[in-house]
Amino acid sequence: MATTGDPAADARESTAMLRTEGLVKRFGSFTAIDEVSLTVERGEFRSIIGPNGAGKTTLFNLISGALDATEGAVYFNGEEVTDRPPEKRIQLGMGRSFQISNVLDGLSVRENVRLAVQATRRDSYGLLESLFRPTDRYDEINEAVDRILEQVGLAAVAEETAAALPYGDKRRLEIGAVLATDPELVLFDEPTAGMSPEQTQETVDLIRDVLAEQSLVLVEHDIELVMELSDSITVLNRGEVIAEGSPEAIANDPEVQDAYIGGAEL
Amino acid sequence: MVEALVQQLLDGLTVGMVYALLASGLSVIFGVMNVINFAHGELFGLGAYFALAVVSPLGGVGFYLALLVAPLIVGGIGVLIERFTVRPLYDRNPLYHILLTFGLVLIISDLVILVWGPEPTSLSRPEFITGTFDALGGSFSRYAVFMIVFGSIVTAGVWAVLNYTRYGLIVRAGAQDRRMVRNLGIDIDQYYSLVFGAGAALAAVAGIVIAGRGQVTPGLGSAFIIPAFVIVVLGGLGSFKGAVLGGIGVGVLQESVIKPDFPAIDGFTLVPALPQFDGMIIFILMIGVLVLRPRGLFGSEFNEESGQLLVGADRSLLTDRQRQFLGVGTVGLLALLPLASGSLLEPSTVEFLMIRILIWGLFALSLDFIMGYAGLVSLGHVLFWGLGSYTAGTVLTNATESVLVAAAVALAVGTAVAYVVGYLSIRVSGVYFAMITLGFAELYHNLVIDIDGWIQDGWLHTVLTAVPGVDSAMLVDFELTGGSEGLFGFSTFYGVGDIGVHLDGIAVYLGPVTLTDRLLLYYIILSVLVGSFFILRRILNAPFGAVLKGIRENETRVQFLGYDPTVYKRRAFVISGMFATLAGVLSALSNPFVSPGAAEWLKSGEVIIMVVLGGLGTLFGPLIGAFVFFGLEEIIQDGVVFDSLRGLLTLVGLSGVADTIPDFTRRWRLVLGTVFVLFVLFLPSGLVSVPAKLEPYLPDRFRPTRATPAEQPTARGDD
Amino acid sequence: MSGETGQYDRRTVLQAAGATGALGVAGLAGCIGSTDDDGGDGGGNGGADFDTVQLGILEPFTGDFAALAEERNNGETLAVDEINQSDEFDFEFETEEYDTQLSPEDGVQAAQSAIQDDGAGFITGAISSSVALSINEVAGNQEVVYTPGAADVSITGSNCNEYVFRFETNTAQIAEVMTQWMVDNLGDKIHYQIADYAYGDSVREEVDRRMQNLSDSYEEVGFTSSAQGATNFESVLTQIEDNVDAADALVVGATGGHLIRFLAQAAGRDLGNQIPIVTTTGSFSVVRGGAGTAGYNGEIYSGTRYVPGIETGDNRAFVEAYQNEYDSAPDNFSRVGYESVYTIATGIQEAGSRDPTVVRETLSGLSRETIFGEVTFRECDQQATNPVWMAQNVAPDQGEVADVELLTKLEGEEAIPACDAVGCGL
Repeated sequence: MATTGDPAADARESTAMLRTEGLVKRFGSFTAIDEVSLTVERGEFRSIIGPNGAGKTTLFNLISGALDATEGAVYFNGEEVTDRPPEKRIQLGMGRSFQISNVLDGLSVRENVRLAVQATRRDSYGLLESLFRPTDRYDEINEAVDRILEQVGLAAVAEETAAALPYGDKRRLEIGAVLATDPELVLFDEPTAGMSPEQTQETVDLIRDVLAEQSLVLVEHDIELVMELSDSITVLNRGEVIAEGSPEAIANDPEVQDAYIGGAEL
Repeated sequence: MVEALVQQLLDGLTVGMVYALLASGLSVIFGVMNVINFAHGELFGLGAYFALAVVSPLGGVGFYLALLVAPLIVGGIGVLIERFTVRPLYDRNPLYHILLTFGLVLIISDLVILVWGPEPTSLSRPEFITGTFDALGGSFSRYAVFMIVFGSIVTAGVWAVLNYTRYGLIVRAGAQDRRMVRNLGIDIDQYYSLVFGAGAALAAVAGIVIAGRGQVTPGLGSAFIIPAFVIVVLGGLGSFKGAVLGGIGVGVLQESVIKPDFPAIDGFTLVPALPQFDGMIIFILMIGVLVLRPRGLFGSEFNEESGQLLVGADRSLLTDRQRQFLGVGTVGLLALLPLASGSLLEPSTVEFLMIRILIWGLFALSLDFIMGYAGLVSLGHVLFWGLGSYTAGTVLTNATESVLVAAAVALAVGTAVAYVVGYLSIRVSGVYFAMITLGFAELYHNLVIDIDGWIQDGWLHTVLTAVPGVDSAMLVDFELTGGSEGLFGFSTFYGVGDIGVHLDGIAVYLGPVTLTDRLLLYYIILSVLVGSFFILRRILNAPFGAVLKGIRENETRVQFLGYDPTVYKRRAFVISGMFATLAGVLSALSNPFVSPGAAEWLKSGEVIIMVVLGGLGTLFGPLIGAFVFFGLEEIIQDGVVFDSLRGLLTLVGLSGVADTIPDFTRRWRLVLGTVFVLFVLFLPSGLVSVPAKLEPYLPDRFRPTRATPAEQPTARGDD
Repeated sequence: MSGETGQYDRRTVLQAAGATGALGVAGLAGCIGSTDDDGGDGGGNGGADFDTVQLGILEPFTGDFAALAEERNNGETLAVDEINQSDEFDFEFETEEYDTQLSPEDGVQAAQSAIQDDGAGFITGAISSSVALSINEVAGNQEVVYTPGAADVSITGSNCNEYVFRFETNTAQIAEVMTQWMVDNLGDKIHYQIADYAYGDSVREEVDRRMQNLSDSYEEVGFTSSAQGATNFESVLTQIEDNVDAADALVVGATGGHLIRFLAQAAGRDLGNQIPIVTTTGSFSVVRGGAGTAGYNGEIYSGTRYVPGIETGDNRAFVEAYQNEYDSAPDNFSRVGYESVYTIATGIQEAGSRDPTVVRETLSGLSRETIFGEVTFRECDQQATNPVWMAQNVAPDQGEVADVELLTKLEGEEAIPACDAVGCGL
C-alpha cells in the first residue's frame, strides 16, 4: 500500500491515532469515497460533516473494515489495517457505534455489555474454559460490567432485554458496549439521530464523561453540536474532503459555506 | 463417431432443458421472494397429471393442448399457494418456508394419489413427435428434439418477457435486490403471486415434457427437486441466466460427458474413473463453485435479506425454579416409563417409539445448537447421522463388537468431517450455506452406496491392489457399507475387552418389573440425551455460548465487538456435528442395522421440522418437537382422526357424507402436511411459545410476577 | 399383555435391590442377572385361546411402492376373509395393518409394534428388499414367523433365518427360466442393460452365471447401465442399436419406474423389432400399465412369476374370488400376499398350535397345495419351489395395456438353485 515514501514523515505520522491515505471506494462506476486522506491525533475529537450522501458512513465503513477499500490505506495506531477484518481492528482498539441503534435486542442489557467486556479478555482464558465455565464465574469480567453499567446509568435495568429499552437507553447501552471494548479510538455514527434536545444533551454529556480519554471521530448532522464538541472538523462532499480545520476556521471557510452550508445556517 | 457424440449431447440437452425449466422458476422465486420452495417438484408432477387428464380423453393430439392447459392450471394453483400460504411468511427466515413447503409436498403428493391412484400411467404423444428420424448417419429420437426445441422456445419466451417488458424488468431487479426495488417506490409484493404462478407453470411444462418420454407417477417430482436446487445455487439465486445455463450445463455434464461411453476425442481422454462418480458430480461441482464463488456463478453481490428468525421464547412464564422442577419432573417421568412398559404402555411404545424419539431428540438438539443459536440453517445435518450410523455399523461388523470402541471411532470421524465441512461451508451464508451442507450430505449418501462397489471392482480396487500385500481376493467380499442394502445383523457389546455386557444377556429386576434388552438400551439412550443436554446447556452458559447468542442476534454487531463470527460458527458446527454423530451411533445401536436411508436428505428436512415445531433457540424445544413429530405420525397413522371425523358426521346425521370420505388412514401424510402448514401459519415460534400466547387469557395469579414492558412481543416479528 | 410376564421365568437372576439406586449402572451390581438364550418366545403364545391368531400386515402403504402395497394387501385381505369363513381352519385371523413406509427404520418399528403391542406371532409383507431384510432380523430375534415379499436372493440366501418363509419367487428362479429359454430360443450372445443398483446387479450376476453353465459359446457382447433414477436412455439405446446384429438378445435388469421409462424410450426407437428384449418384470401389470403401448412394441419377453391366466393348482378359484372382490384381475403381488397368508394359516393348522416356534418347525419342508399346485418350502432355505414361466407381452384385444402370453413353464424343482448354492445355513 502507498506510503509517503519519506521515512521521517512515516515515523512522525505513525504516532497518529488514525490515518487514512488516499482512500477510494467505488461501487461499480460510482465513486463513493475519492482520495480521502485524514489524520486523527491521539486524544483528538474530530467531527466529519457533509450533506446527505457525502460518503460519511461509507468512510466509517472503510475505516472500521465493514467495507473493503478499492484503493488506499488505513493506519491505526501506527499499524496498517487496510486488509484486516473488522474484528481485528476492534481488537487493536478501535470502537464503533452505528447509525441505526445496533444493540443485541434479544439479550439482556447486562449480557450486551458483558459480551463486549468478554471480547477484550478473550486471551485470559483457554478454549475449554470458554466452552464450559459459566459466564457468571468470571469475576473480573463481571466487575467490569457492573462498573460500566453504573457509568452509563443502566444498572437499574441491567436484567431487562435490550429490546425493551426506550430509545435513549438503547443509545446509552450502545455507548456502554463500545466503552466496554476498551477502545482508544471511537467512531460515532450519528449517536444523537432521532433524539429530543434533552436526550441529545444527555448523550453528549455521557460521551464527554465516559470517553474523555479516547480519541473520537463523530459523524453528525447537528452542526451546533459539532461546533460545540469538536477539536477539529473535516467536511466531506461527494466523497471528497473539501475542508479541514478548527470549528472556527470551518465556519468561516467560504468554500464550505458555498458547497455545503450555503452560508444561511451559520 | 459423430453420430454417437450427437446422441450423447442430445441426451444431455434433453435433461438439461428439463432442469433449466424447473430451475429457472425456482431461482426467480428464490431471488424475488426468498422462498425455498420444496413443493416445486410436486408442481412439476402436477403438470404431468393435469396433462394426463387432458390427454386421456383426447388421445395423442391432446398432448399439444395439454402443453398449454396444464401449465395454466398449475400456474393458477401456484398463485393460490402464494396467496394463502406463502404470503403470510414474507420477511421471515427461509426456514419457515422449508417447513411450509415440506407440508405442501406431503399434501400435494397424497392428493395426487387420492385423485389419480398410485399406479404409474403412460402419457400418449402425437404421432409426429414419436419415433426416430435419420440424420448424420444415425437415427435420432423425434421426441428428444421436440423437448429441446420446445424447451428452448419456452425459455427464450420467458427470457424475452424478463428483458423486454416492464414487468420483467421489475422482477429481474427484485431478484437481484429487493430492497433497492422497494426504495424506488415499487410495490414488489404485488408481483409475487404472478412470479410464483409463472414459476409453477414453468415447472408444469417441465413435468409434462419429461412425462411424455417415460411415465406419470406420484413420485415424479421428487427425483428432480434436488438437482434443481443445486442448479439454482450453482447459477446464483435469482439469476434466470444462471439457472438456464446451469441447468443445461449440468444436464450435459451428467448425461453426456461423464458417461462411461462418452466418445474420447483425440488427445483428450477423461479420467477413466469419472463415470463411477456419476451421482456425485453435480454436488462436487456445486461445492467447488460455492467455495470459489460464494454467490454462485451469476449471483448478485448484494446482501440477501435473511428475514426474521423467530426464536422460541426468551421470556418464560415460569420462574427458573419452576423450570428446573419441570425439567427434573420430565426426566423423572421418562425414567419411569420403562417400568410401565407392557402394563400401562404397549411394549413397543417404550422399546421403539420412545427410543426413536429420544435419539431424534438428540439429533434435533444438535441441529438447534447451530440453527437456533448461531443462525446456521443446515440442510445437510443427516451427514453426521449417517456418519455415526455407518461408522459404528462398519466397526461393529468388521472390527469389534464393542459399542464403546465403535462410538469412539464414529465420534472421531464425525468430528474430523465436521471440521472440514464446517471450514468449507461457513464461508458462505444463508441459503447457500443450507445448500452446500446439503451437497456434502448428498455426496456422502452416494458414497455409502458406491464405496463397496469401488473397493470390490472399481477405481479403489485398482488403487488398493497397488498397495503391497493387498490382493483382490481380500477386497471382493469386503463390506464397508453394504452398498444399496446396508449392513445387517451386527451384535453389540457394551464394554471393552472382556469387561462389559450384551444387553440381551442380562436382566434387571426391580420388584415386579423386569428390565431387559431394549428397556436397558432405553436407559442408556436417555442418559446420553440428558448428558448431552447438560453439556450443551453448559456451553451456552459459558463465554462461547454467549458469543453464539450474540451472533444469532446480530452478527455484524458481534464482529464490531471484536469477535470473529466465522471462528465461532465453525466451532459451533463441529460441536453440533459431534452430537449429531452421536445420535447416528445410537440409531445404529438400537436397530441394529444401517441402510443408505440413514444418509438420505429427507432426514435433514425432518429434523428441521422437529426443531421448528418445538421452537428454535431453546434447548428443550427440539425435544418437544421430536416428541410431537413422532407422536403426530403415530396418532394420525392409527386412523383416530378420520374415524372420529366419520363418527362425528354420522352422529350429526350426515352418514352419507361420512361414507364418501375415503379410507384416509393410508393417506396420513396428507393430514401431517396439513398440520405443518397450519402450524407454520399460526404458531411460527414453535410449541414452546404456546404458554406465552395463552398468557393474556390467563387469570392474574398465573402471570409472571416480573413486570413486563407493555409493548414487547414474545417472539420478535410475531405481531 | 398379561401373557408376557412369564417370559423371564427361566432366567437365572439375583434378587432385586431397592429400586432407587438400581437405575445407574453402578447401582446395578445387586440386581443384574444373565438370561438364558431361549428367552423371548415372541408374542402371542400366552393366554388367549387358539380361536384367534394375531397377524401383522406390514406394507409400504405410503411412498413409491404404494400401488404394489395395495395389490399385495388385496391378496392378503382376500385370504384372511376366506380363512376366517372356512371350516378347514380351526381359528380365525385377527389382522392389523402397519405402514412400513420406505425405510427400514419404519419397517422395523411397524414390525415391533405388530409383535409387541398387538401380540402378533405372525407377520407378512414388505416389497422392497432393504425393508424385508430388516424385518427378517426382527423376525429372527423376536421369533415370529415372517413371510416377506421382495425378490432379493439373499432374503432366503445369505441373510436367511429359520423364521422366514418366502412365497415370492426370487431373482435366481426367474434367471433360471430366462437363461434356459434364451439359449433354446434366441441364442447366447447377450447385451446387458442394467439399472445401477442392487436389483439390476443381481439380475446380471444370476443370468451371467447361468449362461456360463448352459453354453460354452456364451458371450457378453455388450454392457450398458443407467442410474437407478435415470430418465434418459437415448444414448444407451444407440449403443444397444450398434449391437443388435452381434447380440441375440437384450437382457434388461430393471424393474418398476426404471423399466417403464426404458421401455417407453425403447419403443420410440422401435428397439423391440430390432432385438428381442428380455426382462425380469415386464409382465407385471404395473409395468405394463405404466408403459402402455410401449409395453408390447416388438419382441418383449419377460421371466414371469405369475399371471392370472395360468392353469395351475387352485389359481382359477383364486382369480375368480379376486375378480369378484376387487373387480380386477390379481397380479403377482396379490398372489404373493394371498399365498403368504395361506402359508401361515396352513402352518398353524398343521401344527395345531399358534406358537410361532412350533409353526416354524412344521412349515419347514412342508409341501402344500397352492395356486401353483404343490409347492414346498425347502428345509435348507425355506424358499417356495414356485414354478416360473417365460412370457411375451403381446398386443391387447382392446385398450393400450399389453396382454401376457405364456411361452414355456419351468417346474419349481428345476428352477430353484441347489441347496448348497444359496448360502443359507439352515
